[in-house]
Amino acid sequence: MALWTLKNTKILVVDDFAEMRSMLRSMLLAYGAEDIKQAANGADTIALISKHNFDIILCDYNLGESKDGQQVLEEAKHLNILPLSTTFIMVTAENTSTMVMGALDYQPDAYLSKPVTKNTLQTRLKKILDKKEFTKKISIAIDNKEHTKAFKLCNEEMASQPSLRLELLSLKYEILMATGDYDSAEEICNEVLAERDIPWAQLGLAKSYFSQQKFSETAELLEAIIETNSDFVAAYDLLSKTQKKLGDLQGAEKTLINAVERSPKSLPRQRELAKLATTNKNHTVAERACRDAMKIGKHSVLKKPDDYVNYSQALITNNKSKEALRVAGNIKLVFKDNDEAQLQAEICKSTIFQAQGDDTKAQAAMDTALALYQSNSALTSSNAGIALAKNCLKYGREEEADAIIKDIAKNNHENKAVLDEINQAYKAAGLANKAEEKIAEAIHEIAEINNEGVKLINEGKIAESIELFKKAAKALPQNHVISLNTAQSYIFLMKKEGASRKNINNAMFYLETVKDIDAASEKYHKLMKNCREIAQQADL
Amino acid sequence: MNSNIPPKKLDFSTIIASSVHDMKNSLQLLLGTLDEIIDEHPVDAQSGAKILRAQAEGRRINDQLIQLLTLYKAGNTQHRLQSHEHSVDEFLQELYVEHQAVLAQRSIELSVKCDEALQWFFDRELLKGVINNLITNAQQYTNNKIQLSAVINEKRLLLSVDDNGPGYPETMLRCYNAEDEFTPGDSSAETGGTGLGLFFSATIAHMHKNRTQCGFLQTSNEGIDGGARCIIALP
Repeated sequence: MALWTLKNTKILVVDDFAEMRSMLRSMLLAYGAEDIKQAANGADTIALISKHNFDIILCDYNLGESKDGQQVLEEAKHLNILPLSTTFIMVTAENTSTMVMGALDYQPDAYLSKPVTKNTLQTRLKKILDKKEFTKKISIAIDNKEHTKAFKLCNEEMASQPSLRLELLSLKYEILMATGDYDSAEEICNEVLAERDIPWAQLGLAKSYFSQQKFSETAELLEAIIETNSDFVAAYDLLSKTQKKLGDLQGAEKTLINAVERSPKSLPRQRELAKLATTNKNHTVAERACRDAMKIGKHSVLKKPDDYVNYSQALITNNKSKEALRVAGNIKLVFKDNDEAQLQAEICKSTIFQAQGDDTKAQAAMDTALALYQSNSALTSSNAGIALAKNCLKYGREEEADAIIKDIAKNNHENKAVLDEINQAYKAAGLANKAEEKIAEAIHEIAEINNEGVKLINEGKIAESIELFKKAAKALPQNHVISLNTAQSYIFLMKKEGASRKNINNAMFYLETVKDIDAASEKYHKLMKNCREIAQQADL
Repeated sequence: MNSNIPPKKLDFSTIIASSVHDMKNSLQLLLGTLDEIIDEHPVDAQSGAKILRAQAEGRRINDQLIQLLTLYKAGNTQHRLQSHEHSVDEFLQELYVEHQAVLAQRSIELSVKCDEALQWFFDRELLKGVINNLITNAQQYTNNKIQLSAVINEKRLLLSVDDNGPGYPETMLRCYNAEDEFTPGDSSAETGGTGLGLFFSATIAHMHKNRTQCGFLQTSNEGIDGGARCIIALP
C-alpha cells in the first residue's frame, strides 16, 4: 500500500462515460479514497459543487453534448461556489492548447492527459496537491483582499520554495494589478520575460500597459504576441479592447471575429463582438454573434435577458420580425421569475409589433411594459429603457418617456454614448430640446448630491457624507461618479480615524463597481493608490 | 458590411481529434483494466509478465497515436506546444516506474540520474512520447543497461538516454533537425526501424522554442562504455 493516502479526501469525478468514471474511481480507491462522488454532465457537476466542499475535482474536458470542462470551471468560479482550497484538475484526451490560451483567467490547477495510469495518477496528484498547499495561504489572502499580507507571504515562500518562483511571481503580479500598482506589475513581467516568453507574463505586460493607458504600446505589443502565437485568444480579447480605446472600432471587430473563429464558446467574447458589430452596422455579424451568445448562455447561469433582447433586435434589423417575436417570447419563459426580464420582453414585443406595423398590439405591449416599469422601476439596461422611451414617444406618451430617460440620464450622466442615444431618440421625434432639458435636470440633481456630500466632508461630518453617498449609490447603481465619491468618503474616514479592514473593503467595493468605466480612470487610479497606501501603512 | 464569419467546416483534423479522443478513452480502459486484474487477482509470475507486456504495448499505442497526431498537425502548422514548467526529476521517475518492470524481465537495468531541484519548460506529453521511443529503441540494442539523465548546459536542458550496447552506426551519428527530409527506411537499414521515431523526436525537439532558440537532437557513442547516447536539447 502506498505511504501516501487519499483517506479523508472528498473527491468528485466528472466524465460523460460511466465506465471511465468507475475506472478513475477504482484507481482512487486503491489510494485510500473513501468519499468519491460522480457526475456525468455540467449541470450535475455544478449542482454537486454547490452542495459539497470537494478537495479534488477530476473533470474531463470533453463532456459530450453538454458544456465542456472549461465551461464548468468558469461557471463554478463565477458562481463563487469553488473554494480556493479545491484542487480542480482537467483531464484531456488531446493537447488542447487553444483551450488554455483562451482561458488564462480561469485555469485549472493542473491538466492530466489520458490515458491516466494508476501510477501517474498517484505521483501527479501528490505533486499537484503539495503545490496547492504551498500557495493556498496566499490565494486565500488575495481572495480576502488582504493584499499587503499576501505580498509578504509571496516573498517568504519565494525564499523557502525556489521551485515555485514563477508561480509566486505570477501571484505577485496579480496582487500588484489588483492594488493598481501597474509600474511594479510591469517590472515583474519584464523580469520573467527576460528569461522566457511565458504567456501570463506576455499578456500581463500588455495588461499593465493598458491600465497605464498606454494604448498604442499595448496594441503594438499584442500584435507582436499574436504574430508568433496565433492561438493566443486572450491576447485578441485585449487587443480588441485596446483598438476600441484607440477609436478603431472596425479593427476591434475584426480582431474579435478572428478570436471567435479560434474559440467560439466564450459568452463575454460573443457579447462583445455582437456589440461592436451592431455599432459598426455589420448586421450579419451582429445577428450571428447575438445568436451564438444566446445559445452558449442557454444552459449557463451566466445568461442574461439582454442576450435575448439583443438577438431579437438584431433580427428586427435584418427584417426577421417573426423570429424576433419568438425570441422575445422565450425571454418570458426562460426568465420566469425575473421582473426586469418580463419588462424587457414586453419592450421587445412592442418594438417588433411596431416594426410589423401592428400599432394596436404594439401599444398593448407598451402599456404592459409601462405598468411593469412603474410598479418596479428597476431597469438596469439603458438600451431597453431607451427603446421603451422611443415607443412612448411614438404613441404620444411623452410624459412617461421623459420620466424614463431622466432615470437613465441620472444613472449615466457622464456616459456620452448613452446621452447621445437619448438625444437621437428625441431628435427623431422632433423633441431635441426636451432631451437636453431632461439631461440637464439629471446632471443638476447629481451635482447637488455631490455638493452636499462634499460640504458634509468639509464640515468634518464624514459619517453623514458616507450615508448620503451610499443612499445615492443604491438608487443609482450605475453612476460611477457617485460610486467614486462613496469610496472617497471611506478613504477620508480612514485618513481621519485610522484604517480598518472593513473600511478598506468598503472603499474597494465601490471602486470595483467603476473598474471598467473609462471616464473615471483618473480619479479611480488616484483613489486606488490612496487605498493601497493606507492598507500598506496599516499593514492590512 | 462584408466581414462575415466563415462557416464552420468539418475538416480532417476535426475528425482525427475526435477519433483520438475515442481511442484514448479505449486505451484508458484497457490499461486501467489490466491494472485492476493485477490488483484483484493474484497472478503467477508468468501471467504477471504477460500483463506487464500488454500494458507496455498499450502505452506504445498511445505514444504512436500522439506521434501520428503531432506530425499530422505539425505538417499543417496548427500544432502548438503546451509548454509548462515541470520538475525534470519527477518526469524521469515517472518514466522509470513505467518501464522498469518490463525491462527487468529482459534483464536490463534502468537507472535515472538527475538533480532533484532541476526544473524546465517542456510539453510533458510530447516529450514523454519522445523518451518512450528512445527507451524502446535502446532496449533493442543495449547489452544490459539503460540510463536516463538530465543536466543544464548553456541554458539548455540536455535529456539523455544512454545504453551500453554497440552504439550507433557511423551513418547515424549527427545532429538531427526537423528540417531534415524524412524518407522511410533511409537511415535505418541497419536499425531495422523505419527511422520515423528519430524523425518524430527531432521534430518535437525542434518545436520547443525559447525566444530565438530551437531544440535539437544529437546522437553520439558517448553512452555507457561507448554505447549509444541520444540527447534531446531543449532551450
